[in-house]
Amino acid sequence: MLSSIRVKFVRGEEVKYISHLDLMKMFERALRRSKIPIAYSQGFNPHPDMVFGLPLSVGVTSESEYADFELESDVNPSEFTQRLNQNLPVGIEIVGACENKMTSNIMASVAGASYEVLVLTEGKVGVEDLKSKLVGFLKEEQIFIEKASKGKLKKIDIRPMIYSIDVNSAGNSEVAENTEAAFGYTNPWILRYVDMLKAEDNQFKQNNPSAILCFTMLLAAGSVANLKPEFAIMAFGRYAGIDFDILKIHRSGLFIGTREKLMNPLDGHVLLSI
Amino acid sequence: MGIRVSDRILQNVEKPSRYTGNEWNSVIKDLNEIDIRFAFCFPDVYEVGMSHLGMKILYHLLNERSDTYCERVFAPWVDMEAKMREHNIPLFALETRDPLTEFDFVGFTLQYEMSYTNIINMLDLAGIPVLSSERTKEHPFVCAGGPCAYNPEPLADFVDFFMMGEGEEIINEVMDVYVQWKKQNLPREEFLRSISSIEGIYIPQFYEVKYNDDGTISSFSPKKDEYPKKIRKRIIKDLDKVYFPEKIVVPFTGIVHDRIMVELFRGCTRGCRFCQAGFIYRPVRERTADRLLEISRKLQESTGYEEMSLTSLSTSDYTSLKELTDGLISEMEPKKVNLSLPSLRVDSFSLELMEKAQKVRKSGLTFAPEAGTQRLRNVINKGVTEEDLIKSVSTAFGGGWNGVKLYFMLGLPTETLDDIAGIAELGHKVVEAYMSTPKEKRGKGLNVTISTSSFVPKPFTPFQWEPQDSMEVLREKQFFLKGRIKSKNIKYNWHDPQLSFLEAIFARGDRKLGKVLLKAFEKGCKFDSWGEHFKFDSWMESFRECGIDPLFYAGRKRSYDEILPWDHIDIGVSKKFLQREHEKALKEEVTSNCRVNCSGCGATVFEGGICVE
Ligand code: SF4
Repeated sequence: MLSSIRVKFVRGEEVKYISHLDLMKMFERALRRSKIPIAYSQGFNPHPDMVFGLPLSVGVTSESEYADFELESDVNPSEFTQRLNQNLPVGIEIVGACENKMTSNIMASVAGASYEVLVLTEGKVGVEDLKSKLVGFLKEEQIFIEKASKGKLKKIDIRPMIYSIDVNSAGNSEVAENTEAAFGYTNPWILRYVDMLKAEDNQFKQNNPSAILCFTMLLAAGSVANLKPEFAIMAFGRYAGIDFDILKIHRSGLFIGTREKLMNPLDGHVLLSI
Repeated sequence: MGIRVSDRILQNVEKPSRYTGNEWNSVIKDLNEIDIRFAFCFPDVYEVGMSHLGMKILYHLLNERSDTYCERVFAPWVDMEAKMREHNIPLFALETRDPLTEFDFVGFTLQYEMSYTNIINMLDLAGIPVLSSERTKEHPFVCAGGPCAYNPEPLADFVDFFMMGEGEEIINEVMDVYVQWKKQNLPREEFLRSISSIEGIYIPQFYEVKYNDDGTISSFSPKKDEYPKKIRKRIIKDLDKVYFPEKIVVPFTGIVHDRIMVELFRGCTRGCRFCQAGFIYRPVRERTADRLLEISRKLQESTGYEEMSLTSLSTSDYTSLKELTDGLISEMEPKKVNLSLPSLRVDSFSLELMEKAQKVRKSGLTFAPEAGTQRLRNVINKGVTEEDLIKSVSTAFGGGWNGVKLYFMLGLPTETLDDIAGIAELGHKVVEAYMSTPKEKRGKGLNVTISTSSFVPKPFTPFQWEPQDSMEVLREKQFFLKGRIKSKNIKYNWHDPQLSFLEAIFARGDRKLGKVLLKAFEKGCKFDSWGEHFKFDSWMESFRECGIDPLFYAGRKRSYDEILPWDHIDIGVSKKFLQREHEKALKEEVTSNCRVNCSGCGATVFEGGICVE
C-alpha cells in the first residue's frame, strides 16, 4: 500500500550553508537511518520518492519548508515525525506532518512565499520615510529588473510577483527611538539573529552608525512565477536611491493555491487572500 | 566559547559548509566533564580529510574515552584563510569552534609529503609556535602519525612527538600518561620523557644527529641512555578485536570518498619493490568476513549511507572475498545500498562481481602493470605478465567493457628506452585485443588511457638507495613515449615531474630540510599538491636561500653502508632484507609473495598475521 506524507520542517542557522542537493541527500540518509519505508523509483539508479517545495538558497534559513514523502506502507504522521526527527541533524526538524491527500505534489503547488530580509543601510534612514517610499514603489505599474538568463540579460517585470512588502527597524536605537513599537512585528528568528549580531560585538559596533532594518515580504513563488527576495530588495533600493546590504534572508512561510487564495500546504486551509 | 565566524565571511567563501560542522554523528561533549582536548588535524581541505578512514577511526576511538574530547580540524581553503587572517580569526576546531591553542594535543596525520607546508601554515594560523623548541607549557603538544611519519626527520623541528605505526593502542597509552602528567603539574619535558618509553613513540628533540662533511649522517644517537635507540612501529595483531567505529561522521557536502569504508586487511603480501605501503604495513592481517559484515551492518544503520566500499591495499587478495561480497550484496541490496568495488584484479569472478554489485557503466577498468616490459616488471617485482593483462582485458571487452585505464611509472631503476617503448606496445596490444573481440560482444567506442607517473624512491623500500631520474630525463621519457603511441584510441596522460621531484626530496629527507620547509612556508607555499597552488619556483628559491642542494636528496645514489635518516625507525622489515631485495631487483629476480613462500623479511618480530598463520 502506497501512502503519502507531507511534512513541514525548519532549517536553522546550523545547517543554512548546505545546498539544496545536499539537503535532499541528507534526508535520504536520515530516512534510511530511521528505517521509514520510503518508496524508491524504479530503474537503474533508484532514488527515494520525495519532493521538496521550493529550493532554499545557500545561507537562507527557514521555518517553513515542506516536503512530500511516498511510503511503501502506512506510517502515521506522528510516528513518521518522531522517527525522522530522531535521525535528523541539529538544525533540521519536522514541525508538522499530515497524511497527504492533495492531488499534486508540493513542488507543483507552491504559489507564494514570505520572507524576512535583514538589511544594513548606510547613515540614518527613517523607517517611516522608507515605509512611505514603499507605498510609492508598490504604486508603480511595472518594475523592471535585469536578469541574466542563458548568457543574455533579460528584462523582467517583477511588479506582479510582489504581493506585499513592509519594513521595520530591527534593533537600532538611534533609528528607532521607540524600540517597542519598532519591534511590534519582528520574527523571532530575526530577533535571535540580531541578538547574535550584537553578541558578536565588534561587528555590531561597526554597524552601529548605520541602521539594521528588516523587510517583510510576500512574493510569488513556485514553478509559474518565482521571485527571490534579493531581487525585490534590489529593485526597491534602486527606486529609493538607497544601498541595502543584505545581512540575512529568512523564509517565514510557504503557500500553495493561487495569489488570490494562499493556503497552508499542510491542511489546505486558506491563510491569506489578497 | 567558540569562535563565531560571521556570516559576512562565510557568505563570501567557497563551500562554507566546510567550516560549519554539525554533521550527523559528529561528537558533542561537555567540556566540564573531560580532561583532555585533542585536535585531530588533517593538513588538507575538508573534503579530502573527511575521506580518510584513519581519521574516522581515531576520532571516534578517542571520543570513546570519557576523559577525552577529540575534535576535527582541516586546512581552511585559501579564500577562507585570507579572511581568517584579515579578521584575526585563529584556526579553530569544527565541533566547538574553539581555537587550537585551547587544546592539549594538536595531532596531524601525515598522508603525503606535499602536505607538510600546510602543517606549518595551520600551526601558524592557530597561533601556536611552529617550532617545537619555542613551545612552552601553555602550548598544546604537537604530535603526528601516518605513513609519512616513517621518515619523520623533515618534520623533526616542528613536531613534539611522533606515533609510529597503527594508532589504535598507542594513542590511548599516551592519553593515559597525559592525564597523570596534567594532574601533577610537571614541566613540559617531563611528559615527553615519560612517554618516551612507550613503544612507537619518537621524540626528535631527544636525539642528536651529526653529519659528515659531504652532508651524509655520521651518527644518530639518543641524548640520554634512557631513550630507545630504535623506535619500533606499532601494529594491531588481531584486527577482529581492535576497535572499529560503529558510527562515522556523515558530511553534508560531497567529499572525495563519500561512503562507508570497511577495511578488509592491513598490509600486502605482494612485495612490489617500489611500494612503501607494501613494506611499512607488514605483516598482512585480515579481518574475518563475519566481523566485516557486522561492521558494515552497524555502519549502515548509523549513517544511512547509500554506498559502501571495501578498502585494502589489494582487495583481490582478501581470502574470503567471495563470502564477504555475497553477504554484503544480499544484505545491502534490499536497503538500496550500493557496493562500490575498488580496482580488483580482473578475472571472471571479479567481472561477475562488478556486474552484480555495481550499476556501472562499462567504461573504466583500471590496470596497473607499472612497467612496460617483463624485464622491468621483474625488477620491480610486479607480478603481472603481459599474458595476464591481455587475457583480463579480453575477458572484459568480451563482457561489454570498452574502456581501460593503464597505469605506469617512468623512471624506475634500470629503465631503458625499450621499457618505455614497451608501454606503448602494451597499449597497442590492448587495442588489438579489443579489435579481435566480436563486435556484438564488445562495447562501442574503445577508450584506452595510458597514464604515467614519475617514480619516487621511498624509504623502507628496496629502492631506498636509488637516485630519482632528473626532471629533464623524465620529461624526455614522457616525450619519447608520446611519440611511440600510434593508436588514435589511446590517450596519454602525464604529469610534470616537478611535484615528484619535491616528493622525492622530502620522502628521503633529513632534519636539515626543516629550515627549507619553514622558508617555503614563509614564501607562501601551501596546498602544494593542488596544481594551482604549487609554487615550484618558490621552493627552489627556498632551497637556494637555505644553501641546500635538492639533488642531494632526490638524485643521489646512496651506498648500503650510509646511515639513512630513517634508520632509527624499526618497521620490522630489516634493512638486510631490503638490501637483498634491491640486489635481486638488479638481477631481475622476482620474490614470491608471503602466501607462497615467506622470504624472511623480518616482520615475524610482531608475531602476528600471515607470518604465524
Ligand atoms: S616475515 Fe615472511 S610472511 Fe611475514 S611479512 Fe615477511 S615475508 Fe611475509
